[in-house]
Amino acid sequence: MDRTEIQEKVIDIISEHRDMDRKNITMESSLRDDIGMDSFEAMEFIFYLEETYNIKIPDSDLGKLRVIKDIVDYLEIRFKEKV
Amino acid sequence: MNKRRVVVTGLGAVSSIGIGKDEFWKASVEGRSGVKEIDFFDASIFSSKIASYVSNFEPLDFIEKSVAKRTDRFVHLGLAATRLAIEDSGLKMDSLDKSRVGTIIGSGLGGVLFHEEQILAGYEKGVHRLNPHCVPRISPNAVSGQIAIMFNAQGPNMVISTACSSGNIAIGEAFRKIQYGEADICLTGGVEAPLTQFTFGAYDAMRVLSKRNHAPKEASRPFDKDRDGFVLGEGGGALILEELEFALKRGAKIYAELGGYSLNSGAYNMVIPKPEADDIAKVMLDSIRDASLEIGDIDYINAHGTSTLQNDRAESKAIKDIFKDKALDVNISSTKSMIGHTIAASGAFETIICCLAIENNIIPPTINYTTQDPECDLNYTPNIAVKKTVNNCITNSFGFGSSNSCLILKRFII
Repeated sequence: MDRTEIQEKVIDIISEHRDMDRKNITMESSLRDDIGMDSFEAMEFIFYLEETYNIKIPDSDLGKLRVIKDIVDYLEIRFKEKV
Repeated sequence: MNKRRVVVTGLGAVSSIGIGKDEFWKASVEGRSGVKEIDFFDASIFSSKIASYVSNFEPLDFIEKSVAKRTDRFVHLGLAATRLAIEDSGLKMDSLDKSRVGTIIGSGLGGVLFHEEQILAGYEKGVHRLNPHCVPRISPNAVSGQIAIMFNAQGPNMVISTACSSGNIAIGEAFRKIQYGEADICLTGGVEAPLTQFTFGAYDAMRVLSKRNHAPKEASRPFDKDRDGFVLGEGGGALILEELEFALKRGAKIYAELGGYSLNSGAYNMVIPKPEADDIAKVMLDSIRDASLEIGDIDYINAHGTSTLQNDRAESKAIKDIFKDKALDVNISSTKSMIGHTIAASGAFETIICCLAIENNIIPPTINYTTQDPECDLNYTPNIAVKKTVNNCITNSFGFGSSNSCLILKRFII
């Protein structure tokens, strides 16, 4: 799974569940401020990532995931670990 | 303190015979049935294979996608019906003192659709992999919570969960809240979306459902000699209740006044109505007294009328016991003959019918009435609507668990 695929998929999930235009979601978009997720919605988003990629994201990693780029970086590392 | 007067100023219905109060009323007067074969899960394994459902309901017509995605069908029905009722009332929600707007809704079962999906997902993937939305989406109070969020209603908020009487009791409690000054407006009503395979199977297991599968539209036949059980249904009914002075000041259209309310427990059985029917006779008498009316003042009884052998017999007995020689003067009809038993929504739909009966001086029929049962020998307004001056109505709801309630609706006279 390459970086572009991951990025596209993450943006897919957000635009679908937040009913947002993809154009408005960039790598710098912050989950809280730009995408407007509250803490519960952020947790729900993490759940969808877990379901999509069949991974478990521990609480201790959540603090790292503030903007889209953080999420894509994180998933890239997790996939490399799996392999 | 003096109890304040409370009036109904808005109606909203999402039902199997119409969406919106006009469609719902028109279908009720015409005597149309919303019962069909079940085609959205495999019902072939059950004894009953029919239900009353709203096949043309599009949640996105009423709710934003992001809200619709994270709420269950019963909440969709509640949000839609409430939106319709608010539009009907002409209330401008933004201009109100939000702390004076309450939300009291009946919901018997909550989010059973999502609950069932998650149980199946839990077994497949493990119960440690559940959707974080399980709790807020399944809990019955999701409907009062989400309605309050959507309309910014910051007053008293609760869900009433008393099975078949939930909607009636929710309206009664909203009535009390305004009477006693804890709110000026209440968004009230009842919702139910019980048509999942598991929940349907649970009702089927009680052997209370009609097995007239070859003729679905004739299955719900309250008070008729050949009735064989109720038809399970879904829907959402909403009403706007307002304190009278508030309503008059803003020039609101007034459908009817809430006259009286009473509730009690038969303390008898979780499922079987008390054959002596003294509990339901008392709840009707108490609400007539609460309304400062006499027995002879009642023009119309919208019965609980489920189409079960026992309810219809008990209800007829109770009416005869309290109305005595006036029992045949009063018109009775059952909305359930057309839309089946929508559990918590039933009390709301039936109160809506009472309001429209008063407005139009028309009593909708009990359909599918072909043969008299000697134990049900009253005037059930069979098959055809009747034109009659309707000043005072009773609406009854008797829930599993012996939960009985009764509301009185009166013509509003200043």
